Amino acid sequence: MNIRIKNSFTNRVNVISSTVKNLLNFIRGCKQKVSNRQFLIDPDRKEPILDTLTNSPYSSNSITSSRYTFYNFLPKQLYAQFSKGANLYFLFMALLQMIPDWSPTGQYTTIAPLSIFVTLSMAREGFDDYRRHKQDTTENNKECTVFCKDGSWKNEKWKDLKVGDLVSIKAQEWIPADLLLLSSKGENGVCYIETAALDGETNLKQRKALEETNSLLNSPESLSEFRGKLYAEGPNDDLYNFNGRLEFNDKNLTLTNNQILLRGTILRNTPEIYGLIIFTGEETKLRMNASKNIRTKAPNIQKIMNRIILITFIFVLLLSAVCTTMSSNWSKRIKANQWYSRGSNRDMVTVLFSFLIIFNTMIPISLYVTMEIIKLAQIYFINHDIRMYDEETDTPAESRTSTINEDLGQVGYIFSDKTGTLTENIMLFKKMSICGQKFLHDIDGNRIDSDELLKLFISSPISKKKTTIKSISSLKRSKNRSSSFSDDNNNNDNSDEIIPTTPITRQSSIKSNFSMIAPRPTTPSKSKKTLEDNSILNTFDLLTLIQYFSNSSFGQRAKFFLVAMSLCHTCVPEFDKESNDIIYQASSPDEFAIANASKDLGYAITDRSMGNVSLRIHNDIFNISDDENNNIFNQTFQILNLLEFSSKRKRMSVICRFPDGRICLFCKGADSVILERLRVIYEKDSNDLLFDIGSGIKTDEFLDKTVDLFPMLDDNNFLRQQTIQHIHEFAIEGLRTLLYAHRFIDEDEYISWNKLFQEASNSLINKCEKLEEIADLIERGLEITGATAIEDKLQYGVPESIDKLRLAGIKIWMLTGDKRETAINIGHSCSLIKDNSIKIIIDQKNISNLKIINNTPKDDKSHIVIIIDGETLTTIEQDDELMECFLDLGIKCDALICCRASPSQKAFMVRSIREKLKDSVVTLAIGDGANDIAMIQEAHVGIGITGREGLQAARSSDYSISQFRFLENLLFVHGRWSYVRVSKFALGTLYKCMCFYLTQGIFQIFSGFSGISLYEQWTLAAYNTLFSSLPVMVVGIFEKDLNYDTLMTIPRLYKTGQENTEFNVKVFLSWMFGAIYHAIALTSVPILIHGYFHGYEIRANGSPQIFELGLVIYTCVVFVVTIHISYLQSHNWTILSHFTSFLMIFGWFAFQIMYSYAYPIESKSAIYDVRGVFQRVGNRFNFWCVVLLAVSFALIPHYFLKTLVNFFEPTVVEFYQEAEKDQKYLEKLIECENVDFYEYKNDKNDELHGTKFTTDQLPFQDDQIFMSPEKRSSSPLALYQNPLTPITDVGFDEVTTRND
Amino acid sequence: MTETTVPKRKPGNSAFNQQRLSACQPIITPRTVFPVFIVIATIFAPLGGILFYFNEKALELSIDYTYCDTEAPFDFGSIPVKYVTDSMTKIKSIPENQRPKWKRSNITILPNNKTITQCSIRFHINKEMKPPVYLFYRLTNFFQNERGYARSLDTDQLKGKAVNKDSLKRGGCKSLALNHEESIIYPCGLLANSMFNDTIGNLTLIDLISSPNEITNITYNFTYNGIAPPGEAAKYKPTTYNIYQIRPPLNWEARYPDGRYTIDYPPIDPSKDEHFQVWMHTAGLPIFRKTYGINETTPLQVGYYQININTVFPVKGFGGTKSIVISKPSTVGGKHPFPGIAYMALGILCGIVGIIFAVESYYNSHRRRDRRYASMQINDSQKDIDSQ
Repeated sequence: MNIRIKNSFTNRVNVISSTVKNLLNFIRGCKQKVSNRQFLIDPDRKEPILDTLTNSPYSSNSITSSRYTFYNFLPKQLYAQFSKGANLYFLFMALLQMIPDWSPTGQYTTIAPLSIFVTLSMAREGFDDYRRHKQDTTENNKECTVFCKDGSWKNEKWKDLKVGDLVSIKAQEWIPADLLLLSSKGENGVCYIETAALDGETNLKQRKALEETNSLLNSPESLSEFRGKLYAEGPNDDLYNFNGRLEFNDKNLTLTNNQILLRGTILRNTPEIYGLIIFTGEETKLRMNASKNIRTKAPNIQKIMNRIILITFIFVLLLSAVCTTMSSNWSKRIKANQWYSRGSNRDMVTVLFSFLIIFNTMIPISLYVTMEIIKLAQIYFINHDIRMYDEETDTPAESRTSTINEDLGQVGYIFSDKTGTLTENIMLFKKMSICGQKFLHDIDGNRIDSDELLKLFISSPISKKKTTIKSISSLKRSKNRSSSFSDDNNNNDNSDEIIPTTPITRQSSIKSNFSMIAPRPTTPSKSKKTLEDNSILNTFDLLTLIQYFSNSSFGQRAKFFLVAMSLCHTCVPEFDKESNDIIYQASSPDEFAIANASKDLGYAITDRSMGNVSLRIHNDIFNISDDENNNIFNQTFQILNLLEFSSKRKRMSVICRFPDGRICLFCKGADSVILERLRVIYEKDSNDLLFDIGSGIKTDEFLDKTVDLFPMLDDNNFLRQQTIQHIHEFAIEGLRTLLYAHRFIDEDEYISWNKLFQEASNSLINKCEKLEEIADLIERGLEITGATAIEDKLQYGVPESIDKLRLAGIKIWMLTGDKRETAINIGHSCSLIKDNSIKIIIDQKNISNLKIINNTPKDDKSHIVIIIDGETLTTIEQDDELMECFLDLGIKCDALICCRASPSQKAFMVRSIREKLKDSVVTLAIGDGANDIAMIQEAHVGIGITGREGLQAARSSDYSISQFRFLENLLFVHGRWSYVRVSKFALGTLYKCMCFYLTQGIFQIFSGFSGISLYEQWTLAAYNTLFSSLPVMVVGIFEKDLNYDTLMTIPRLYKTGQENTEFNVKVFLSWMFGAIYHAIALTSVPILIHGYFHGYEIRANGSPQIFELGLVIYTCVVFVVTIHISYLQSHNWTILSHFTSFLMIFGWFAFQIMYSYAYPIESKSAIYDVRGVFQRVGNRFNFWCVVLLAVSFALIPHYFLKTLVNFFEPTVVEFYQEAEKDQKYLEKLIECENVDFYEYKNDKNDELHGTKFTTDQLPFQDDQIFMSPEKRSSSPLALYQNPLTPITDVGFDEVTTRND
Repeated sequence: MTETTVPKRKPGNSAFNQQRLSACQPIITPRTVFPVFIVIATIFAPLGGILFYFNEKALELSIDYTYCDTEAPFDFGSIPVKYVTDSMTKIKSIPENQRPKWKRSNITILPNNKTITQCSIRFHINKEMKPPVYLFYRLTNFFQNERGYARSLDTDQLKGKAVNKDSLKRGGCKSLALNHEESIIYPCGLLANSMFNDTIGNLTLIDLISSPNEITNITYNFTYNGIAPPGEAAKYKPTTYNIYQIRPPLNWEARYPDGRYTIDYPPIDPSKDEHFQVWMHTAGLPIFRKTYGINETTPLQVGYYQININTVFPVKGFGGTKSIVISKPSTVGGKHPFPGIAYMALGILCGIVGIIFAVESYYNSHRRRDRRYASMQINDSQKDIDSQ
């Protein structure tokens, strides 16, 4: 206990001192400097290391996500509660009311409910924070093994870890702080970490300790001898870079991100590592990335609500002021002559405050509290919507906040993550292209009987000239070739007729595969295309073919490609003893997919060690059991060099030595990069390389036999075109494509190159750049090996959802950490980019032209998509003017894709747009990984996908759903309903208060403006809770202005919320005029009848007392308010509306009966003579007549007016309400809407599919829409001007030359 | 971890959870609304008729005698028409000798021998009034509901407690607790002080045929019991003050010798004095009538009656009036033509609207709907263009 107090005391002293420091810094006008970190490493140290700049210890490793402590909870919360305008206002009024004698309405009728409400919301906040405390404590008390100076290990709690500590982490353990990896028990100092919680990527990342440290610091003994000095950059939020230096053993070692293990990651597949703590607690990159000041989210409606409440408040003030003036007037004019009330001179201040107290309730306390209840109910419905329940993962939608339901109905911008949000985050190897032939990788697909296959293959497109490709060169070639064709091949142009002989079963199976790849109905319906797609062969057919034509050029090439596939990656195979299978550890899901696919196809690497790769080849994968020895070859390839992938290079290469001694370079990468590096083809060039990959495969004699079958395999140019065409097709389908190329290298060339390479890799300065340069030297003159296509499987229904969201007027921005090509591909497949969209790619090169683009007027017909990457965004961020430009442009365009964005950049984008639009448009961020948390918290509405990447994002989100497509339900239905409900509730509440309390105001005219209340105080106080609360609540919970299905099918109805047509000042005023009219009608009828009509009095025995008069008016108000809210303003009369209306009216009378019998006779104020009144009044026929008359006078004209307005100027909502009544008509309407819906698609049918591939590579300035007409026509790409121009006419040659 | 067990978190598929509660979803178009109007019309018009019929049965005569002390002649003269409201007949149709007349005379009253004006009013009752017959006084422009005024009383004092000076000054009576001699006023407060104190006599029949200028000894008596609302008496008890300790309210002083209570002129017993109770039962509006007397047994015969009023209650000062009202309510309440007329008017209007809507919706509501859709589309695209 003592220690705790001491701790908290010292903590507080620290907090105070740092606050003072910050304050001083603030006053001096400079930011607190982020010091670079440098400290001596010494395991014997006892004192904590001091920051060199501030001379104070580094921050501790404990983290706090809680907001309050035990001591500051009450003051902080009270401050928070009463900084809400409404609460402060009510507090003020309550205090006024408590001044004796001022209040005409009782002393405690405000303070009592107010304190209950405030206590409740404080309790809730307290409970939330208590849970956060508990979470923090668990996190801070996790244990970790720390090295002691005596060479032993001890467990320490995370919160006690300090900078400079040496720790040991075992497999599956969380990394407790940002560590420098010193050594790893894994091979070569390599360790693997899972960063899912940090950046959302599920694949394992590789980290490698420096050679020096790994070899020397691999035991506790050596650790105790560890001395050195560490220099590092200061704490920052960049997850991908680290700059540092380690002085160790008299060497200066450069540290990069490769040696850093970040907090929030998990060690995997590595037995143990040793690390040195560099950053702790709040200074870790994980915490630096977390939004520091979590925005308290308030619904967008709140602004209008505040404005409306301000208007009401001004009205209250005005009314009070007018009444006070009238009061002073009255007392001057009349009272001078009034002998009966002499002496009671009015004190105008008192009068003013009396009026304020009477009228202040026009702003109801219950508005805020009941609103909470309503929102809880809305949440209940969101959580229980079976249409947002995902059977597969057993997850329903879940809301974690209740404050911003209505924001869901007003979303204008969606910021979406890609991986796991739009896609399923499963990479599937889908297709490959070898020797100009496409193959579908479909493990479950049926195989074709080999005879059929052969027949089919002979007539397949590989042996025919494709009519769509008309490049001059290929035309020439085909002429030459036709003479040497066999008879079969002369029929190539008619080959389409042969294809249908394909067995039906097969076709259908492939069809179904296709529907999986592209679930949206965008596959062009051109018959030819479909046939070609359907005729695609299975990869197992490929294996069969390889067997049959093992020694043909085709077979050789195919085998060679499979070898390339299985060699050219960085996956590490691990033999899993349990399943007796090889499992790959990959650094990217793509590689994982490729490695597994090649394993499926019988080319599995089984071991990767010491620069060698063992490859196990199944000759016949279908007969594994037959004869192991004959069937399986084990071959070892020596990996000479690995040229790593980088986002700049967009390719990776492997240089390996074949078993027969040849050196070959395999390169895989983005098509745009590989194409540049292909060997230049000369006219008479033919491929004379033999793809002999070693023993067991004889190649020498095949050429003569099979030359007729595969004549064009010798035609490199044709092959290239085919492959490019295929890649292009794959890309249109939304697949991630990789082009493989290879090159055999002479021994001499290799040796000289390798020398350069070794030099570069040993250099300390600019190592990366140098390596890239060197790599560039060897990656030239390549030959196409083949291509792969990997499907980043879209979630079901994503493209449709995106189309619908767009139709609903929502702009969608995709912010992803992926690389640009992938992002664009997904953009295509999820319908974010239309085929006729204009893509503007902004990168470092063309930033300066941003302004020009921005000033170009937008053609409203075109669909513009902007693509930008994180790096460029960083540059833009630094220039305010550019940023402004960029945002303007972003708002103008229809969609935006930001790739390679860091978590903080994602949040930055959201924040910029939010601020740019001054919070007038609701932004929504949706994501699934920890890398989306910042963005989710930054947006007005944060949505988490409870997907495969765990729950980090979902936990910090406001709502979580399990599928992207549920966003439709969430926004169109629940959001819209919530919006409508909250609007109607708020308006209804203000209406009922205005209507009721205004009767008091009107009555003042008849009471000499004396501030007397028409109603007895407790009856008055009970109005809001007992006699009017339920109808508005029912409307707020159950109102449906349109049905679920209507809202789902007609996205345009969502615009109601965006345009805020249900809740704005205009609507508010119309409700208020209604309220004022009702108040006048309800007051004037009883007053007329009680003596103001020729002095007649309907009450048989004398005039009513004030209470009785009030009773009549009150009854009228209860009727009118109940009927008006439950029936006239509501569109959904459920049993609950009937029940609550009954309850209100019945409750009122029950209350009066009770009052009439039980009210104390000895009441302090004699004015309200309650006892026995209702007994007498309720028996009188004329009482009921008056009530009915007043109610009719109030409601019938209103109802009539509403009918007229609806008749002459119906709103969209009213129109669809009417349409809902006529199912057939509604269906017709939906059809009409669907025409709009497929508007883009219709265009596409006339268009060839070339746009995507080529325009991707265009720098934006070549984009037509932003150019002056003169420029446009002179542009070499003028043919893109008309999207209907067949793009594929651009020959392959032209494409490549342009790229050069 | 995807187990093939029964999904645990699957939401229930109930109508409530899925928001599919059966509901009526009315739309507001002439087509759907006209029956409502027709129904209202068919209810309201007859209801108005009934109320109108009953209202005819209620009889009421009201005579404003505010200016009796200045305008009335010393011998009977006609009361100006503006002061008379007679629901039974139009004044002009009444024969000259049966018209309402008034006269003033000065009389002296005990105990202080003060001279006051007595107002005699004669009027003709054309229709027999079946009991109960009420006699009201009616004041206008008198704000009994004025906040300071209405609260100016001391409930404890009226409950019989001998409240001391200090408490009185702090309590409700603070504006009129003590008189200029610093003695306690009982009953204190402005409300009691300003009690209506005109004395209204009984109705005396005048035999117009035999002795048109003489009053007969046939009187129609009102009782003063049962005029206060039931339960009112329970609020009051006789005072426990010593009568020498207290003084009557300023406005009552004329009724007591030298403005003091004596054995012969004791303070009122509020639990018995129903006029006092009626007065203290404050009216909610500045125009009000309060019951002065009631006759629940005998019918008021047709005839010419005289009533004498001692007028002492000042109303001209604040621009008010005072009247006497003789009223016989019907079974549905006091005389009031407004509800009947209003219901009938409302019913007829609703009927007309209903018929117009019905006719409208009979013709081409479908075509209208299509037109609306078209116009909506145009609006939409217009909006889009505007927003560009």
